[in-house]
Amino acid sequence: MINEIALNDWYPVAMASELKPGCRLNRVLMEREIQISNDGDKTHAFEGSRVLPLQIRYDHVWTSLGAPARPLFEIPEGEQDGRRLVACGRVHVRCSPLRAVENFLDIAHFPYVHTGILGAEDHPEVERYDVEIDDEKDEVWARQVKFFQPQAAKSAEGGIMADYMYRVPAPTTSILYKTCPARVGEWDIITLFVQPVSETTCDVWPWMALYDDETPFNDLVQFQQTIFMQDRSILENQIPALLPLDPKMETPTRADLTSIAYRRWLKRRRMFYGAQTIAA
Amino acid sequence: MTQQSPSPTAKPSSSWIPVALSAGFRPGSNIRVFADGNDIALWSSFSGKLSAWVNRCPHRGMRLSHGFVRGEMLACIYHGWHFAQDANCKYIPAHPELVPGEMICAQAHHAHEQDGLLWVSCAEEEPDAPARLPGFGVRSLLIDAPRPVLAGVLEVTHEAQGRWELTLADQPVILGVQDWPEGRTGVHLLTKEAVSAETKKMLSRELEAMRRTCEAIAPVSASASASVPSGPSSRSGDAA
Amino acid sequence: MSFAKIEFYGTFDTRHFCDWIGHRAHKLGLTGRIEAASSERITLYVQGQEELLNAMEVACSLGPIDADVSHTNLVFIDPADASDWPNRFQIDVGPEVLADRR
Repeated sequence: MINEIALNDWYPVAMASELKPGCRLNRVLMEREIQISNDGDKTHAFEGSRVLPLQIRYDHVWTSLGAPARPLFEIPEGEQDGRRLVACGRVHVRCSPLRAVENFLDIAHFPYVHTGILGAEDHPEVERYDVEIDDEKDEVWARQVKFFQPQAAKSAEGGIMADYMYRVPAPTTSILYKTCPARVGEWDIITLFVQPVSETTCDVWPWMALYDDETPFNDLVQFQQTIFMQDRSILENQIPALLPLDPKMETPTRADLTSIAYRRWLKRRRMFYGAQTIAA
Repeated sequence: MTQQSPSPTAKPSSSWIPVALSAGFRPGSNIRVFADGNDIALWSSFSGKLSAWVNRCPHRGMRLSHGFVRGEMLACIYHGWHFAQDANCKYIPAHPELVPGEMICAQAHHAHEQDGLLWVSCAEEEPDAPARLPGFGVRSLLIDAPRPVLAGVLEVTHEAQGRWELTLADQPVILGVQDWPEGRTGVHLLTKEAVSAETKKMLSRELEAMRRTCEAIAPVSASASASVPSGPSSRSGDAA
Repeated sequence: MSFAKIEFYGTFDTRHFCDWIGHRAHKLGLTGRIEAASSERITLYVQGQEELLNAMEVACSLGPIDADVSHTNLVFIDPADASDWPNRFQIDVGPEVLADRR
């Protein structure tokens, strides 16, 4: 069931670069068929004959099935000069859109799922980090996150202790701030924009804003797609398919603090699309 | 023949279900099987001890059949939680100093190896072993047709505890029969006596022919096949 | 072995949340007791390995579906400051909690 909260949010449905003049894209958003078209002058979104709100930001097209209760979140760092903006395309995943976001917030799986790239089995320990639900901004933040990475990014050579921050500005969006190998003191930004196709399927649109002028575009996209393909084998095999908001059957530990805060935030703002609200 | 249509709410039966052939299931193997509609991780430790567990990591619900065997333990692929033979969690990599308590554990069913087959029971109490019927494993196949279709196609001369006895290409054979979700059936073919590689190859072809016959009678509905997780889809590569 | 006082603040069905906490303590193999409980605050004393006490706080910060936990507080304590440690987890919070059930 789509509740008001889910209906009235903004969702990504295409890359801006797909909007060639005269094009017409068919997409599914929360089980409803919508169309995105470009008449050579402007881009429009429709559900049948109904015009949907639309905006183009962060290299993607955003729309809503309802009346958006708040403006699209800001990513100020993503609009700084000197960054490479990389839209990585779409990955279809047979999982709850909320599970895709939750997995993105998780570092403890790096040694096993992204072995040799984002983690190493001989460095699995998760150090204490800070998690906060910012009630004023209505966002989840994780800070002071540190994790050993044998290859932190395409431009990184050898292992480092990488620093991260995670930000969840909307239920289906996660932003990762990560140590920038090329520019000390700055953060690279990797985001996951998730389009809920149904409660148990989603399209994921990774987008990056990096300080990296060296690495070929295709290599950057390929790196991110490799990572996400590895995640997908996890996401399509978690039980139950919906994200449980009562973890009675699960055993979270301190390393799962971001995941638990995210679920607590979803529960509090009653974002139940893709969530399981009975104990499981 | 009792018809069992597996569903997530299926009640545990008291019997053993043949879920795989012993042959080829080497130490260190870990596969996904179904018994009485229950999703199960069947794995063998390096020393050859067989276990059948509820296919769900108690940490965050990942299917344990995707995990890896390390020595006498099974590790979940998601966060590397290690579980010993007694199903208790012994190691949580994110917290290496922690010694998990006995209540942090996977849930075990019963597993048994006999007569060339691996058996699982979801009963509370371990049932008596199946009656002896020695066999030599040839091949397992997953068929997109429910059990009654197979029963109609094959001339079964005797059946007991999930095993059908019949003649296939003039060879007396045993077929272990296992219900899968969505109207599928797993079959495990064994010969009653040791046979040549040539005969095995021939029987294997016969089994494939039998599968084609059954699937022609009962094509799996499009919706059922669509809900089976597939590999990377063509929609994944449309990067800018 | 560590000892901690953990407090949960928010809005909950007290009895339901207390049972949930008891179930979690059992699952993590912790001993201790719920010392005070209302529909806005639950205080417990628990004993176990440090990471399991952390796990207790993390799991209960989400809690059952009808609990809205606004914040939590965990303080490690000297065992001498919490007398009469039970050898299991006890929920003996008295009739006022049952009366609180809505």
